[in-house]
Amino acid sequence: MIRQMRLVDHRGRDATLLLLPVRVTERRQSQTLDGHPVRHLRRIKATADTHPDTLYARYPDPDDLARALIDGDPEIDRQTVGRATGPCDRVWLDGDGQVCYAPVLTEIRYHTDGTERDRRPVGRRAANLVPALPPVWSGVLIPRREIVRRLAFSRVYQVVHQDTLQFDFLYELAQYLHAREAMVQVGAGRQGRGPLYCERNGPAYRGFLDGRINGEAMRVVLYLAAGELTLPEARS
Amino acid sequence: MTQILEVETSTGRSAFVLTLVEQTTLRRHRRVALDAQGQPCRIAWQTWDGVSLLPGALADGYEDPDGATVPRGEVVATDAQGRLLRQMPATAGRVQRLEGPVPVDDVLAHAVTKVYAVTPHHLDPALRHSLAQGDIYRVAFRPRPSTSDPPAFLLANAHGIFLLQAALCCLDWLTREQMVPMESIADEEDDAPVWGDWLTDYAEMGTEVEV
Repeated sequence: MIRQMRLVDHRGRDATLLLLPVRVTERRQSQTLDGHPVRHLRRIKATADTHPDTLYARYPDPDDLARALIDGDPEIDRQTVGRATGPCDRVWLDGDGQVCYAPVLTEIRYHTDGTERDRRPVGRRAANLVPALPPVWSGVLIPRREIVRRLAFSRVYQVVHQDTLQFDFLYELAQYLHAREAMVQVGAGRQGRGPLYCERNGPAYRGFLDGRINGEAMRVVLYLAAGELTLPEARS
Repeated sequence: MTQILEVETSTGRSAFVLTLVEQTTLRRHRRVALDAQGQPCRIAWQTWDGVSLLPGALADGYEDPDGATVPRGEVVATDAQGRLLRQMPATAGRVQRLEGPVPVDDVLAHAVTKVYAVTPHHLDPALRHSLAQGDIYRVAFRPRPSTSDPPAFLLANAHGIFLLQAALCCLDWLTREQMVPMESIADEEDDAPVWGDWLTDYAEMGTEVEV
């Protein structure tokens, strides 16, 4: 999926640019020791009806479970065991082990000591990388050396241009940040510091832009952090 | 799960106890799916013919083009060019050499995949001082034997010492003429679970089940 983001620079100009995922994924293959290709596949060991958890629930008494295992082999479904899974869908199972087609997503919030504070239904939150109104330059510049020790950047995107006008926009932004050896916070809201949502109902991220120039070349990178490097006891 | 990391520098050895920092710890909230009775739902996979599979109900295997099962011990990993990948041992119980201090750009060339809180069991005073000054060190960290060697970065802030497991990012310099065609971006989105995604709260099964 191609992501776009509407960015604003230090001069108040804005542009909608592409975000290129840059995380390196290792492409691996498997083969036998003598060089013949092999294919990875997953086989079924147990179904939901024969899974150990299900059997424990069905036979709470260990003696009953042992007797059932000996008498009826309830842990084996001869029709499916050993079969390759084939394409699968991810589903939710309710307390009875049936597919739950309309689960209610609930957010559980915790106290700093890890105990549950409250529960609330998850509201519908739209992605906000491309807002209807131009974003606001936050002006929050944080030295790179400091920011990498404060936040864990779990998502990294390179901001890329599609035309030369966008290149000029990015180059000047990169030049500005390069000269200050700092990253600028990007975000939603009136101050440009609000959380960023890359997907609908997705996690909230704090975004920072880094910019470098190298002669006529430039590099603008968007870093997204889901949380600060703190511990619960430190927060309290 | 707690793990031990032993490192050495030119000034001495240090030992750390590592505790994985869950994303819910950092964000202090998580999302669960509830059924009509308010009970938490379990995630499962459903096959094309309606068989539900719970976590732990799958076995990995390999087969050759003829469909014959190949024992795992006879399978080796190769890179995309077919070169054999060496299996590297886990770092637990083996003293690792700290590299650094590394420049901050080295950290920024990676995306964080896991965060560990570090409790020093024994900390070399020189290393303690260096970390307090804001230095960042790179160290090999493999919780289990692996053919990949993602780096980890040891750093400290006002709240403590942390080890960040990271994945390399490929950042390019772009010139005016070097526009990225849309076709090259399509389907490049990383499918790997991203540390910090709320969806990974549900990723009890670890990996996707594919054909």
